[in-house]
Amino acid sequence: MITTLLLLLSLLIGTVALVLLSRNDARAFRIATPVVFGVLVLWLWQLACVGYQIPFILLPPPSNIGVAIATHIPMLAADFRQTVLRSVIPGWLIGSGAGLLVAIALDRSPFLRRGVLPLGSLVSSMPIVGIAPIMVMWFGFDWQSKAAVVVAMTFFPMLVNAGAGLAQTGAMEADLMRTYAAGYRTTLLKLRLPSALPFIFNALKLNATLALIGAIVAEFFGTPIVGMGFRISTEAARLDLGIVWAEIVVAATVGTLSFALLSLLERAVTFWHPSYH
Amino acid sequence: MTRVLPVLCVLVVVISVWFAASVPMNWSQAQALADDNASWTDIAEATQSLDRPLLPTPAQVATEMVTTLVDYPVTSPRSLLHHALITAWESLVGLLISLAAGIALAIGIVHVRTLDRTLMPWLVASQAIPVLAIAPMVVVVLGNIGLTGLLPKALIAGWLSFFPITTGMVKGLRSSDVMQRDLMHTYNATTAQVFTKLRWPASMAFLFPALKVAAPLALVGAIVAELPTGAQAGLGARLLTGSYYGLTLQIWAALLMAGLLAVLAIALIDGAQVLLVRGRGGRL
Amino acid sequence: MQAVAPEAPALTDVRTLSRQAAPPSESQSRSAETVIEARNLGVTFAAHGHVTVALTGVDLAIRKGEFVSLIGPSGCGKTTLLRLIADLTQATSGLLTVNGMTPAEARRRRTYGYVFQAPALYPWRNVESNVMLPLEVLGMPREERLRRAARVLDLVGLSEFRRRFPWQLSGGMQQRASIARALSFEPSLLLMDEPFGALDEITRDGLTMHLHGLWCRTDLTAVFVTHSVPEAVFLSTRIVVMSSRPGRVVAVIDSRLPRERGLDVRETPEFLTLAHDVRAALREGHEDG
Repeated sequence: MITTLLLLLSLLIGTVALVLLSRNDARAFRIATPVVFGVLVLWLWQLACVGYQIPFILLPPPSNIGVAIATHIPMLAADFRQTVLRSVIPGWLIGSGAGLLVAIALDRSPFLRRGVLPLGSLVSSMPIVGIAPIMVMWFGFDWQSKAAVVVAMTFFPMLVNAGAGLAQTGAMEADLMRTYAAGYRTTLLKLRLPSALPFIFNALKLNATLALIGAIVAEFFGTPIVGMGFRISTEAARLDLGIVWAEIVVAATVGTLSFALLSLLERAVTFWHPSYH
Repeated sequence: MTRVLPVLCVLVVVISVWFAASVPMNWSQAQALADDNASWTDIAEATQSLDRPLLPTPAQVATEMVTTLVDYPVTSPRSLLHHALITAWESLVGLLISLAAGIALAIGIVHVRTLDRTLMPWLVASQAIPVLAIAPMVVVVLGNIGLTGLLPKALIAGWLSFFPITTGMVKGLRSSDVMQRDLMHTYNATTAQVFTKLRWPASMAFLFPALKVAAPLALVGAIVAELPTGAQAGLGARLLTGSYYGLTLQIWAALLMAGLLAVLAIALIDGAQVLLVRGRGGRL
Repeated sequence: MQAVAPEAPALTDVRTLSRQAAPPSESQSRSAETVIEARNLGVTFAAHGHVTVALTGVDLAIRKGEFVSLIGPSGCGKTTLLRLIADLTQATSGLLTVNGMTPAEARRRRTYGYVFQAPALYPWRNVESNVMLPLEVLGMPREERLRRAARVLDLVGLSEFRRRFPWQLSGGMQQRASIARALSFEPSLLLMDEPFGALDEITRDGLTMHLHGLWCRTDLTAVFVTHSVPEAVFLSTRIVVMSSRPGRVVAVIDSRLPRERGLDVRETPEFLTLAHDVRAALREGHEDG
């Protein structure tokens, strides 16, 4: 009873606050509004869980998740090391790098480009994460098979995006290089690759998320007793949802941080792109 | 022809390389199973027809697919078609739910400033978050309150496809020119009229590409959602059981089937786009 | 150089204007070397079953130090002719030499600087770096590059802005930077394809004056494509009038204006007569075509 009243009251106050905050166009308010929303959600969640005494095996309150995080830091760190440091990062680097190199190699042959790019775009819409069991057969249970899944998942988006970026060089800018009698390599390095950078960064950001998902989901298919995906699937089965949420919070943080870092890098490198001014 | 020929060439090359690679990859296994006096050619032949090869040949995969598609009735759990239809159905229901919810939310975001300021940042942030990680938890929790079967998988599929649809629709509903909106203003058009006559038609150019991203995501969501329940039905289940029991061909067949489903989904969306485009003068 | 009193303009058939006596101060240039020579030059494109004659039967000789404008309506082949000289397009018939070589050889030896219709500056490089781009491609050492860039930026009046990026500059300044870039490796030939077309009239006036001053101070040979009659008449020593369908040269008109001019020359009777002659030639070309 009290809980319901408190919930409705909080909802009312929260909504009014959000409406008021939305009226102001200043930057501080634009940041504050979604933050207030997030806090509101957390508050309502905590209130409902505690007030209605929702069983923890159904939905643990944020406080429980916070405790789970605080008391399991070594385990979370070990899972982070296994999944992010060993599977995600090497896989992302190798997959994106290979995709870029192949895109550059294809650049020389319009025929090959017309053949490979449509297929690449098709393959990138397939559930590549499903190759996880096959990778386990080839590379064993440990992080190598998960990294292999990540490589496969990140290769095609980079191939397609970098290919598109290299293809859209301006005709005038290319003619300019011709008037300098510049060779293929010079034109590639001084014109086509720089102008393809926005596309390449687009793929890098996309790949960061794909890499994280790929590594975690690949672990759902089986992994030694450590890893974020492993922890999520086993603890969910044991209904220890506090730890599951804790891992999700870690994963979300890693995802957001890497996205932010890549965006900063992108801004520094492609500061010249019209979208920034 | 200039568009199809290169693709066919590349496909032919890929399949040839695949065939060629199956020999060295399966060599050690074939050698171990062969007689002591087997010749190189005998072993090479054997690599093409192992039971649990490291790399099945395209022929083996194709045969497995055809047999499990055709030889069993659709209702049998040994039929690949059975599992494919289950997964397809889960994805479709999920996609439809997210389509409805996503479009509704996008309309809200574009017309109500509070929703825009509150929710858009979270939608954008969700691109960076591995939302699929919640799948096991959701499936298990729903299972505990008695909701099994289609619903949890459709929910996960819908959850995944929700984000690209919503962000795509928001972009699309906002894509109209300032000049085009000003024109409506000079006609004293109501908000509803501006929506139906300008925003909605303009958003189609963004909805279809978003669908082409969302549909494969729904498929992946459905497949992953099938894993935690001890793998009962669907392509994800098939992948998992194949993995547990070392049934290589089953894994490959399920994987290829999933790939074909994704391709089919994209083709259907393209087809819908063509139909729509016909009434609009040939361009989205 | 002294201005020569012009003869009374005779409104004769435009084709006889081609061989007008040149003012004495230019007699040296008559015996000067021929930089560009075209004989019966033609370009025919065939695409999707259609045959387009972009250019046909062009005979032209451009001497060192001249400023030649190519003027005509759209589709007359003026840009095509410029691109032929630059070896950005290849001729399908006839002969074309640049500095006595084939256009391809001239391009390989970086004989000319090209200015496009749009600035075509690379947005990830600042102005100075853009101007140094051809010098980098040429493999010049860094000190040399910086020195030349400074000189040529000074020439177009952009020295203060050398660290700015293209989007931070106005359209006119970007186009000036593009001209500076074309001059940075000191070519003897400058090819320009409607460089001021996208700019407003006031900016255009300023840039036209600027370009004229530049040409006066150096011994550049310039070929300038335009569709603006006043611009062609103001800048040129010779005006090549072209027309379309098929693209061809209709008339070549020598300018009687003094080599060095100010913007106020545009109100003199000589200017107006020349402009009249050019327009008459354009009309004739249009009626014939």
